Order: sequence, then C-alpha cells, then structure tokens
Amino acid sequence: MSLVYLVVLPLLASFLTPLFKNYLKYISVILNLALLYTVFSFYGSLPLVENIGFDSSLSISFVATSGSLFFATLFIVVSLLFSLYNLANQNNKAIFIVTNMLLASVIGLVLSGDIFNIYIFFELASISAYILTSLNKDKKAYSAAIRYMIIGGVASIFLLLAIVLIYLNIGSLRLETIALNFNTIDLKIQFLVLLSLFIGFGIKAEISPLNFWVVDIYSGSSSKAAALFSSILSKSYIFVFFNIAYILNIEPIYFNFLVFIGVLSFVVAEISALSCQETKRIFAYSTLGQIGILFLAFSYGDIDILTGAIFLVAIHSISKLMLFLSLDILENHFGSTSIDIFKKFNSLFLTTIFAIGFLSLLGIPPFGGFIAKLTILKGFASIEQYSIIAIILIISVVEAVYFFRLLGYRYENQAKEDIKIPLVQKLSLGFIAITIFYLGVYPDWLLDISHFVASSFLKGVANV
Amino acid sequence: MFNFSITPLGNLFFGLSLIVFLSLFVVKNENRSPLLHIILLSSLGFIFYAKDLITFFIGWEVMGWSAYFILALTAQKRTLQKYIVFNIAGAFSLLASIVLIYGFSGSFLYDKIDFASTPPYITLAISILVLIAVFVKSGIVLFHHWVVDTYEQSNDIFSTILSAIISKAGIFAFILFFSQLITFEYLETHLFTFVAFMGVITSIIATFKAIDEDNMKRLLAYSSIAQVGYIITILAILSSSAFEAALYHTIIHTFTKLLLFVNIAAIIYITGKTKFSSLGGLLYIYPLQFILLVIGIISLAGMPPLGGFSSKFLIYTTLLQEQQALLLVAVMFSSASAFLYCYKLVYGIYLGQKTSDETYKKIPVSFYIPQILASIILIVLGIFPNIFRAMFNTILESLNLDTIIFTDIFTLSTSIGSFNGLAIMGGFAVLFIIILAIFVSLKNKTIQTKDRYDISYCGEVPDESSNLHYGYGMGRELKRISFIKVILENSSKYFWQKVENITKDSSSVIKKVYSFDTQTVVLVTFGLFTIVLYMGAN
Repeated sequence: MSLVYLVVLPLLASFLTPLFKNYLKYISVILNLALLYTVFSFYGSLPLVENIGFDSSLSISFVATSGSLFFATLFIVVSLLFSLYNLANQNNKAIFIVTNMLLASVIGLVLSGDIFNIYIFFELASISAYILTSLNKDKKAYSAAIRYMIIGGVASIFLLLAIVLIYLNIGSLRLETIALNFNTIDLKIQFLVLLSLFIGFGIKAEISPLNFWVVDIYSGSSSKAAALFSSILSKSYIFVFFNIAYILNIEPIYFNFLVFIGVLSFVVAEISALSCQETKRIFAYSTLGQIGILFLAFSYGDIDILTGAIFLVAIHSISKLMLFLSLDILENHFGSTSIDIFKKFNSLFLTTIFAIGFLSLLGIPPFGGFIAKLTILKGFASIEQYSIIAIILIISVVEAVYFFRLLGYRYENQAKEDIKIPLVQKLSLGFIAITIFYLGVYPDWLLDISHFVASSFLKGVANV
Repeated sequence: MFNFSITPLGNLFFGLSLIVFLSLFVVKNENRSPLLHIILLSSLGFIFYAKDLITFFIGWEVMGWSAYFILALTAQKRTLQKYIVFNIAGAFSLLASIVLIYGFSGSFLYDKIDFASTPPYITLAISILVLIAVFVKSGIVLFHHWVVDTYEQSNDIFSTILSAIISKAGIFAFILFFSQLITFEYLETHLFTFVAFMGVITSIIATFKAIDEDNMKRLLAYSSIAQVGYIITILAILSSSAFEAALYHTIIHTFTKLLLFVNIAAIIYITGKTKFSSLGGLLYIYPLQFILLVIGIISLAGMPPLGGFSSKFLIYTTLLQEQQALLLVAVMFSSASAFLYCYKLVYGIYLGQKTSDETYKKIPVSFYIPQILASIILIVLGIFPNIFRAMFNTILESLNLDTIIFTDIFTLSTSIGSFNGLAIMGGFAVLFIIILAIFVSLKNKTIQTKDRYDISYCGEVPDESSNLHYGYGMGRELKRISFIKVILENSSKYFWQKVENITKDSSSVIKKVYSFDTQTVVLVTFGLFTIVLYMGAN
C-alpha cells in the first residue's frame, strides 16, 4: 500500500460527491474508517519514504516517520469523530467536500518530505479553511473569511520566500538534502530563511505576536469549523514547523527565541480570555494558550517534555473537538454563542461534557490533560527550569477563573430550556469524554507512544 | 496507576470523615447531590490512603472540584469564584512542590523520596509551596478570604463537611509532608517559627471577627478558622508531643463542629433565620437542642470537664515544654476571648425573650442523631481523656517519631503535669447537680416573666425600629479597644481586590490589541519582520 492513498482517498471522495448526494454522511464515516485502516497498515514498516516522479531532486516525496504518522492518525481519528457527530445532521455537500479537502491537505502536510510539496498542501489547507470559515453564509462569516484570506496570503508569501531562498542556495527541495547542506549557506541567509519560515508558519500556527487575527476568525465561523481549526489545522502547522526545525538542526539560540514566544503566547492568550463575553472567543483564546504551551514544550528538545507535548497534542485535539461540537449544539439551539447561553440551557449531559472538557484543559485530575501537564512539568523540573513551571501554574489559575465561571453559570436562577441532543451526537461526545477520563486514569499506553514519537522527532534528519 | 497503603494516620483521618459523612447522611436536607458527595468521600480516601504523591494530588484536586459543584448549588457567583481561585492556586502550588520533589528524588512514591541530597534552598521552596496549599485549605490569615463566605453560603449540611473534614485535609497534608516525607532535620526552623505565629495571629483575628459577627454560620466559620489556627500553631512546633496535641485537637474540633453546625442547621431549618438578632428564647421550645449546644460550646471553648479541655491542655503543656512563652500567651488570649463568641451562641439563640410570636414545628429527629453522637464522644473523651493515646502512639511510630508513655485511660499525663478525667467529671457532676437543685427550688420564687415590650425597667423609650433582642450589639464595645478595632475594620479583602483589578485591567488592555483590523495585523507582521531582520542582520 502506498502513502499516497492517505491523501488521494479523501480528495477522490470529494470529487465523487455528486454520485452519492444522499449518502454523504455515511460515506464520510466509511472513508475515515478506511483511512484509519490504511494508516495502521503502515506502522509495521517505519520509516517509509516514497518518491513519485522521475528526477529525485524535484519529485514529490512522502515520508512517514512515527511522528508524522502519529499526527496523521490523530487527524483521521478526529475527523472520524467529527463525521460520527455529523450523522445526526442533514447531508451537507459543502461540509463533506471541504472537510475531506482539509483532511487530505493536513495529512499531506505532515507526510510531505519536500518543502515545495509542503507549500502546496499549505495552500490547499488554507483554501479549505477559507471556505470552511464562510460556510455560515452570513455577514460575520464572510468578513472573517476575507480577513482570513488576506492574512493567509501574507503567510504564504513568507513561506514562498523561504522556499525560494532555500532553492537558490541549495538547489534542492528535498528536506534531507536541505538539512545536509543548510549549515553551508551564509549565516545571514540562514537567518532570513528561518525568520520567513517562522512568520509563515507562525501566522498559521496561531502563535503570539502573529495571532491577532485568530479570535475573530473563530468567532466568525461556525462552531464546527472552529472545532476543525482548533483540533486539526493548527496542530498540523506546529508539527511541520518543528519537524523542519529539528531536521534542519538549527542553532539553540533560535530555540530559546521560540521558548520566549511560547511563554508570551500562553500568558497573553490566557489573560485576554479573562474579560471575554463570548464562548467561542473564550475557547479560541484557550486554544491559543494551549498552543503557546505546545510551542514552549516543543522548543526545549528534551525527550520528557516532548513526550508530554505530544500527549497534550492528542488530548487537546479531542477535548477541543468535543467542546466546540457541544458548543455547536448550543449554537444551533440558541442562535448565539454569548456566555449567557450557559445560563439558559438545561442538560445534565452537556454540563458534564463541558465540565470534563474544562477540567481536562486546566490539567486537573483525573482527566487526560492532567497527565499531559504533569509530564511537561516533570520534564521542566528535571532540567531545572523552575521559572517556566511557575509561569505555567500561575497562568493556569487565570485559566481556571474563566472556565469555572462558565460552569458556575449553570446554577444561576434563570429560565432554563431543555435541549434535545440526538443519540448519535450523545454517543460520539460521550465517547470522547470517556476517552479523556480513561486517558487520565490509564495514560501509560499513550505515554509510551508519545515517548516513541518524541524520540523519532529528536532524531531529526536521521529519520529521513 | 494508583498506589494505596493503609496507615494509622490515614485510618484516623478517614475514620473521622466516614463518621461525619455517615452521620450527616441521615440528616434531612434539600439540595443534596449524592453522587458528588460520594466522589468527595472517595477523593478523601485517595488523600488519606495514598502511597505516592500523584494519588495524593489526584485526591486533592478531585476534592476541590467536587466541593465546587456541591457549593455551586447554593452559593453566589462571587463566592464560587473566590473559592475556586484560592483552591486551584493552592492545588497548583502543591503540584509545583510535587514536581520539584520528583525532580530531586526521581520518584513519586513516599518510600523513595529522600531529602538528603536536595539542596537546602530547594527544600525551603518545597516547604513554602506545600504551606501555601495547607494555608488555603485551612484558611490561615491572608489565604482565608474564601472561607467565611463559602461556609455561609453552602447548604447547612455541607458547611459541616467543609469545617469538620475539608479543613482537616490541610492538617493531614502538613503532617504528611513535614514528618513523613521531609524529616524534621531538613526543615528550616525559622520558617516554622513564622508559621506558628501565622497560626496564632489567624486565631486571634478570627476570634474577634467571630465576636463581632451577627450571622450564625459566619460566626462558626470564623471559629473554625481560629481552631484550625491553633492546630497549625502547635504543628509548627515540630515535635512528637506537638503532633499528638494537634491530632487530639483535630478529633475534638471535628466532633465539636459537627455538633454545632448541625445544631445551627436545625435552627435554620425550622425558623429560616440565620441571624442572632432575629432569634432568641428558643430554650423553652427546644431544650434538648440547648443542652447539646452547651456541650458543644464547652468543648469548643476548651473548658473542663469535656473533651475540648484535654486537647487544649495538651496544647498548653506542649507550648510550655518547648518554652514558647509568647505563643502560649497568644493562644491563651485567643482561647479566652473565644468565650465571648461561644456565649453569643447560647444567648443569641436560646436565651432571652422570643423576638417574634411565630410558632415553630418540631425539629426532625434526624437532626439530633449526629449531635447526640458527637456529644457522647465529647463526654466520653472528658471522662477518659487518655483513650486515644495508644492510637496516637501507633501513628507517631509510623511517622518515625518518639512515642509517649501511656499510663491509664483516665489520666492524661504530660511531662509537666497530668489530670484525671474521671475525677474532674465527677466533681463537675456533683457541682452541677447542686446548682440545678438550687435553681429548681428557687425558680418560681425569684423569676418574673416580663413581656418584651414591657419597658418599665428601661432608661429610655425604644422606638419601633430598635432591636429589642437581649444580646443585640454585644461586642460593639470591643471596638473601643484600638488594637481590636484595627483587626475588625481591616481585611485582606483589599489586597486581593487589588490583585483582581490589576489582572482585569491587563486583560482588557491586551484584548484591545487582539481587536486590530486586518490592515493593522498585516502591517504589524511586516513591521516585525523588518525589525527582527534588521536586528538579526547586525
């Protein structure tokens, strides 16, 4: 079996939409199951390199390391859960096409072994994201989509600049060739390349100070779109950025800069969430904060911290998916996402789901997020970075304020409305919640996998 | 994943929790959420029986959030926020200390933690972090901001659990960390002297706040803070007799507060009133309640012949033994002042004249069960003050501390002196019977019953708005003492208010940055690119 299937299958499904107009939501589940089956079949033979085309320096190449395959698997699992959730809704052509496009492009993004291919999937992912933003078809959504397009354009320009510079100086687009020759080029050009890469990916990966746009996009688009942005899209950019950084084996001073950026993102995002009056924006800020922690943890290059970070990627993806989808139920019912809706709904199921999601994000036991946070903090303690531990814990208290405020609203004396949740949605959300709880109590298997992924990450170019 | 071990210390604390939970289970109460209470109880099991720090921490956090959800049923938004901010901050402080301990010992298991190779400044940092968590849970001054409102606004039964059990989790953590995990030799003594003074200052401040309080539950909340303050003070002495005194006082305080809170809960359940100034004269309607309350406050004030005296006795003698004269004086001062608020509980609710002509129902029997249980225990402890010494010795032994010589169960002996519980109880019983006999024989001759609007003995004519309650405004005169006035009029509220405002302000400032329009964002991006490029190129 070829790695190409992972990208081609979802794209093919998008093209075949007119044939199965009435069965799209079922096709989507089947497709994701097929992809899951495919991706598991590769785990036996890692690392895997595939070249398509004639000339080795210009051919399309796919590389499956345990790291990239782990991320691809995560994306497929998230997409599977998303499609299960969608079973309760009407068949929607647009969502089907765009989510498949998005899935194909993020899988392509993490599996690409050459930098031009990365650019292509980067653009494809951006285009699907623009469409996804505008799916709501109202003024807010369109203005968010246009905004997204402009900013995405800026990101593309910087990425393209980096690629051009690399090609001019090294004459190849293959990551391994670039890695071997990167140290030979002029230091100033190196700096320019890295800066352009940072800005290109930094904008997309929603990192401070390049993330001023994110919150508006999240709040402009539908909750479903925000779920995909938060749990799939941003993670793929983080993976690619750090994958390139580790493969190029860049100087430690750049990593120190990234640590600073991570701390800045985390602090700024969590503090600004405090005075937010709209749920979707609060979730968006929380995503930015978590991405800050991820950035911080990825930049240290320490195996323990990285293990925690990989675990956090997995747990954060599924918990944000769960939260945004639960918010989608509320949004459909009330037609708004201001925090007042938390005072109005009456559903023990949703309250439990939100409580589990929030507690997990805060890193409170016995939920998965706690294990991630603990592993990261343990890692920082063993390399004696006490100030980072202090910052993470102090800012987490701020995070607790706004999450618990939302939970407390349920008990306010206001007229409550019952909310009907279709069984399929209950099942899929409940499944995620149970998984989060399960990972909090029995985390060892995922920690082992994360450790394995982290070590492959740190091997850098030796992997390819 | 989880490691547990049954220890004598865990048995004591979990046993106390179990008794309190089970006896409260029978009490009639609305707003009960059994599932959350079960989660809370099992989290206590995690804390008390844990064998590694992660299990302990999981219990600690689960206790925090399950209590939050129980509290959320009744409390106001603001109180909830206070509760969660302080408790999460405390828990994260604990997490930081746990992570630090892991960094130096390489393990979370209690047995494998060793401080021999840890630098002293790290041990100091760990101690401070643990102390913050303990202070938050026990409501020590500066960290007590959440306690009183929480106790007041939670439902009456849950206040009991908060006061009797959850504040004790802090005590447990103190004993666990500062004897079992970090042995005395590695601890910074100056820090603990400071802690001892913080404990006693807490109890003095809380005592005076309690005297000034008109709300029954708030008064008990302050009293709870004060009592836990004594426990922290005596624990900070760091000796085996001090630990014994602390454990003894923990037991006494648990049962005393169980009794008092349920007593008050019964009154609130029947009358729907929470203030002293609107109650009074209930003695003739609920005499049994009155007797139980008297048992409770005798124990609370640490007067002989009940159990409270035994634990206070141990506290005083330990402080004398350790030659902590200043602490001893302070504890005695606070303890003596506690009589004032104890008395307020009696006259405010039961004595004096009725403030309204409402007729009240009977108190459901279920309210009496925990009270009678607690009062029996307190009386038994008065007669057999030494009954727990064998158990304390097993606990001290398991903590690798010196044990204390056991004589017989009637005599509570220390190196300075001893007393015989049976003799004291007998003496008091005889005195009580004599006084009762005199009282009964004279009752109808000397006492005239007056209507409360009978103003023939008044110096002035009250208008309609004046509160004619027997003890209304008592404690006001204390404000004339300047140092008490300072205590009563100031509060750590202002400090925390400032912290909150600063955070909120910075939040709205940063949020403004996040609402840039698209052009600005693009411009900022290119600007940053240029600046960094310029800086990097040089």
